[in-house]
Amino acid sequence: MTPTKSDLPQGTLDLLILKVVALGPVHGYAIAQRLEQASRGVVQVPQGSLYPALHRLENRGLLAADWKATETGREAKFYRLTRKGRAQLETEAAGWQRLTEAVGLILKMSEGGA
Amino acid sequence: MGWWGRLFHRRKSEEELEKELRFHLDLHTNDLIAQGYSPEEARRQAHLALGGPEQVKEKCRDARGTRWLEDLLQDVRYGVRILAKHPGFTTVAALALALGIGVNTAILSAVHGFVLRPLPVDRPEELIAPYWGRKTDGQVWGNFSYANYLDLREQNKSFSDLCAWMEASAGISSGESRSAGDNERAEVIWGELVSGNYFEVMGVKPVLGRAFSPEEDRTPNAHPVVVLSHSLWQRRFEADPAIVGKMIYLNGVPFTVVGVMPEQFLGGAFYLRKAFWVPLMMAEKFGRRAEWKTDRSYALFNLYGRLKPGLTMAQAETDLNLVVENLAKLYPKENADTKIQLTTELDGRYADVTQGMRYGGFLALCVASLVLLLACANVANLMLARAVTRAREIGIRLAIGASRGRIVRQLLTESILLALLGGALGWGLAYWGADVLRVSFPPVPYPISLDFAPDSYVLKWMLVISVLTGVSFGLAPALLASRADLVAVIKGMAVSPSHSRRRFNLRSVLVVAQVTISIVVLICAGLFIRSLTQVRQTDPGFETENLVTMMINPSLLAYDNLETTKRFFPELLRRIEAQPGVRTAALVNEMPLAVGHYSRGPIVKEGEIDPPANQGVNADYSLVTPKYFETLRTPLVRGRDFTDRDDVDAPPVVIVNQEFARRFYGGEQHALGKRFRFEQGSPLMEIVGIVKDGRYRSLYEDRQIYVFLPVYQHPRAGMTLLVSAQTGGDLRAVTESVRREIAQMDARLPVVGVMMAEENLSLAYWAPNVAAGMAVALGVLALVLATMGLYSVMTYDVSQRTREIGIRMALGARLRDVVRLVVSQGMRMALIGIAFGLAGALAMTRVLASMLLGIGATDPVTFISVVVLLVAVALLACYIPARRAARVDPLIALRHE
Repeated sequence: MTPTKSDLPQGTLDLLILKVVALGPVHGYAIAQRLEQASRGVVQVPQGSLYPALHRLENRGLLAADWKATETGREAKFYRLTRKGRAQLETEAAGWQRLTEAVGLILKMSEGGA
Repeated sequence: MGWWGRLFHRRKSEEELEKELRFHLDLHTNDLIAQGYSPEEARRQAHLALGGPEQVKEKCRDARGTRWLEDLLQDVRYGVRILAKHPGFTTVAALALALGIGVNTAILSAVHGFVLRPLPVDRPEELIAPYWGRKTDGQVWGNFSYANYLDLREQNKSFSDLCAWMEASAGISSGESRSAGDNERAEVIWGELVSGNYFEVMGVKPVLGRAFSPEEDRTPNAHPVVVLSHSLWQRRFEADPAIVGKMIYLNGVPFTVVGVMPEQFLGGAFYLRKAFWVPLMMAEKFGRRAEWKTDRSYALFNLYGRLKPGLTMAQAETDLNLVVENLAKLYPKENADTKIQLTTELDGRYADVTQGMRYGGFLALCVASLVLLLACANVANLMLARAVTRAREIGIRLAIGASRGRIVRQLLTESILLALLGGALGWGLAYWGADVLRVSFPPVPYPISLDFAPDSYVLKWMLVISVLTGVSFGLAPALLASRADLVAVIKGMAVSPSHSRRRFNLRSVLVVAQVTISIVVLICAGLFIRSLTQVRQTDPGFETENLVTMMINPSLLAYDNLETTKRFFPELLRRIEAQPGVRTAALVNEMPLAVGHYSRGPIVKEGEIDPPANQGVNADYSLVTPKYFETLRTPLVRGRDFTDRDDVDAPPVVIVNQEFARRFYGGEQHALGKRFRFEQGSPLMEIVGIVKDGRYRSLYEDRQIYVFLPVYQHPRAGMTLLVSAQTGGDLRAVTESVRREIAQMDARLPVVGVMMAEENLSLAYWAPNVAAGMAVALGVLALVLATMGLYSVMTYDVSQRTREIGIRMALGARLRDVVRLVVSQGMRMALIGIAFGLAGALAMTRVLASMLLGIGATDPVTFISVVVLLVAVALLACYIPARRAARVDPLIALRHE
C-alpha cells in the first residue's frame, strides 16, 4: 500500500532544491531521487517542475552548473550552490523554520484549547 | 552570461537541455528496469513521471528569461517574410512613411544644425551666456561694455569665471612686403577679440603652442599675439609645424603666432567659423574706438561664464543683478533701468533667433508632423485593408492557441519593421534635402558654418519617430485583427460586410482625418506661396538692375578712418565714375536687406530734452556717400542729396525716410530743415532730404523709420561699393575696370564679395524661397497621400459591396445610379474632412498671420482654390472605383463570395 502523497506547498520546491544541492554538486535525476528518499516518499516531487525550477535558479545566479562525467562515464549537468545561493538558502530556511513553528504552535493551541 | 549571451548560445543551450533531459530519462528507465519493469514499460513510466519532454523544455525556455527576445527574433523574421511577400504594399507604405519621416528628419536636422548642436567645448551645456535687458520693456541684447564686464567679473560671487569676446574681421597678409603675389594674397578673415581667460572658460587647449597669458590681458596695444584656427593654419600656412613664434600681418600690424587651436574649435558663435583669436587689448587695431576700455555705453562684448559648483542659474542671476543695481546707481546714464538675464549658450541662441524664424521653424515642424500623421493614417488604412485579407491566417493562429497579445505583438513588430524601412528611406531623403539646402544657400561674404546634414543626434530621434510611427499606425489594425470572430473566420465568412462594419467605420474616420489634415497643410502651403509671391513683388525701395557690389576696407591696411573718407573714397568714386559704362557709383556701410544692421538713438528733436535712460526711440541708419540714392534708384521726394561738401567741417546734415518725417514731424512738408540729434553730446543734424520708404532689414517688415548719415561726416573705412552700369552696359567689363582702379590706388587692398546686387539680395530671398519650395512639396505630398487614402478606401469598399451592387443592378438600377451611390458615399467623407480641415486652418490663422505678407491669413483665394482642388481630386478618387463597380455583371456579382 502506498501512503498518500502530499503536494508540495507553493514556493518550497526552490528551497528543497537549494538544500539538496548544498550537500555537494549533483545532477537533476539525483536531486529528484534524493528529494523523494529524504521525504520518505511522503512528498510528491513533480519531476516536470524540477527542471524549469533548476533553470530558473541557475538564471537567478543561485545555482551554477558544470558538465562532468558521472561514475558510469556519462556526461551529466552537475548543479552546485553559488555564494548567493547559499545566502538565499539560509534566509529561506530560517524563514521556513519560523513559519512552521508558528503554524505548529497555532495548531497545538487549537487542539488543547477550544 | 547575460541574456544576450544566452541568446547567442541558444543552439548550444537547446542541445544541453535535450541532453540533460535524456540523461534523466535514461537513468530513470534503468532504475525502473532494475525494479523489474520491462524496458518498454520502464521507458513509458519514466516519460510519464517527467511529464512530456516537450512541455518541460518549453517551461525551461521560459525560465531562462530570454523568451521575449526569442519571440521578437521570430516575429522579426516572420515580419520580414510577410513584407517581402507583398512587395506592392510594402513599397507604397514604405514610400509614404519615408516621405513623412524624411521631411521631419530634414527639418529637425536643419533646426539642429542651427540651434541645437552644442559648441565643441568642454561641458558645453554648462556654458552660461549673460544678456543685458531693459527692465521696462523686457528687450534683451547680448553686448556688454568692457568696463561693465570688468565690474561684473570682479564683483559677482557666483561665477567661477567670466570671459568676454567679440567678432572682428581682419585683412591678413603673411609677409612684410605685403605684395599682391599669389602666395601672399590679401584676404579678409574672421576672428575674435577675447579676454585672457577665454580659452580656459571655453575649456579648449591649443594643439600647438599656448593660449593667452594674463599679462597679455592688461595693457592696450602692448602684446600683438595671435592664436590661429586649425583650418587657417592648414590652409594658409600649410600646417607649418614651426608656425609658433612666426609673424603674420593682421590689418597691416605684425602679430606673433603663439598657438593653434584644435580642428573642431571654431570660436564662441555657433553660426560663424572663426580663423583667429587675439587679446581684446588689441581692439584698436581692429577698428574699435580708443575709448572702448572706459566708455560704458560702448557695448562691444559678448560674455560667457561658468557657475561655481552647486549654484543654480537663478541664484547666479540674483547675484549678478545685485552688481547691476550697484552699477546703475554709480553710472545711471548707461546702466539705469537694466538687468541681467542668464541663459545657457544653447538656449541663448534661441533668444538671438528672430521672431520670424522662430515662428517659421515652429510652423515647419507643425506642418511636417501633420504630413507624418497623414502618412500614418494612410498606412493604417492599408494595414486595415490587409488585416481583413489576413483574417484567416490570424484566425487559424488564434485557433491553435496563440494568445491575443502574441498576435498583436507580432503585427506591431511588422508595423515597426515597415516604419523602420520607411525611416531608412526617409534618412536618405533627409540627406538629399540637406544637400539641396546647402547648395541653394546664397553666397555670403562671411564664413557661415552651415551644416544641415543629419547626425547621430538626429538619427536617434529619427529612430524614436519611426518606432512611434510604427506603433501609431499599427496598433489599431493589430487590435482589431486580433479580435477576429474565430468561427466566422475559419468558415471564410469574415470578409462579408456585416462583419467588417467596425473596420469600415475606422477606415472612414481615417479617411476623414486624412482629408482634414491635407486641407490644413494645403491651406498653409497655399497661403505661403501666395504670400511669397507678394514678397517677390514687394518694392524694396531700391533697384538692383545693372548693379555690382563689392566690399572694401582700407582700414585693413592701417589707413585711418578719417584719412580714408577724406581722401581715398572721393578719389576712388571719381575714378570709377570716369570709367566707360559706369552710370554712378556710391558707398554704403551695409547693403539694405543684408545681414548687418546699425542703429542709434535716442532720437531727440531740437529743443527737447533727452528721454530717461534706455527709453527713447532708436533708428536704424546707413552711412552713405553722395549719389547713393541715385545709384540704387531710390527716389528723393524732397530736399537734396548729400554732396562732397557735407564733410566733417560742414554743418551736420541727415536724410530721413518718409516714415521718419511722418512719425516725428507729422508729415514730409514739416520735416525738411528741422534738426534733431542722437544721444547727449552728439551734434544737432539738419534734415536736408527725404527719401521714399523702403525695406531695410527684411522684406517682411512693416514701415520702419530710417536715417541716412553722410559717411564723410561719420568717418568709416569698411564699406560696400555700389557701381551702377549704364543701361545695356557690360557689367563684367565694368567690374573689371573697377577692380583695376582699386588696384591702382592700392594694390594691397583686398576686394571681397564681388557680386551682382541681385546675388547680394539672394540671401534676403533665400528663406522665402526655401519656405515656398517646402510649402509646395508638403502641399503636393499631402494631396497625394489624401488622394491615395480616399481612392484605396473607395476601391476596397466597392469590392466589398460587389454583391449589393449586383443586386441593385439586377433590380433595375442604372449605371448612373450606382455611380451616384458610390460617389456620394465617398464625397460625404471628403466633405466632412473638408469642413474639419477648414475649421482647423482657421484656427491656425492666428499663428500664420504674423508671417504672411500682403495677404490676410484668411485669404479667400487660397481657401477657395484649395477646397476646389480637393473636391476635384476627391471626385476623381471616388469616380474611378464607382465606374468599375457599375461595370460589374450582375450575374457574376451575385455569385461573388
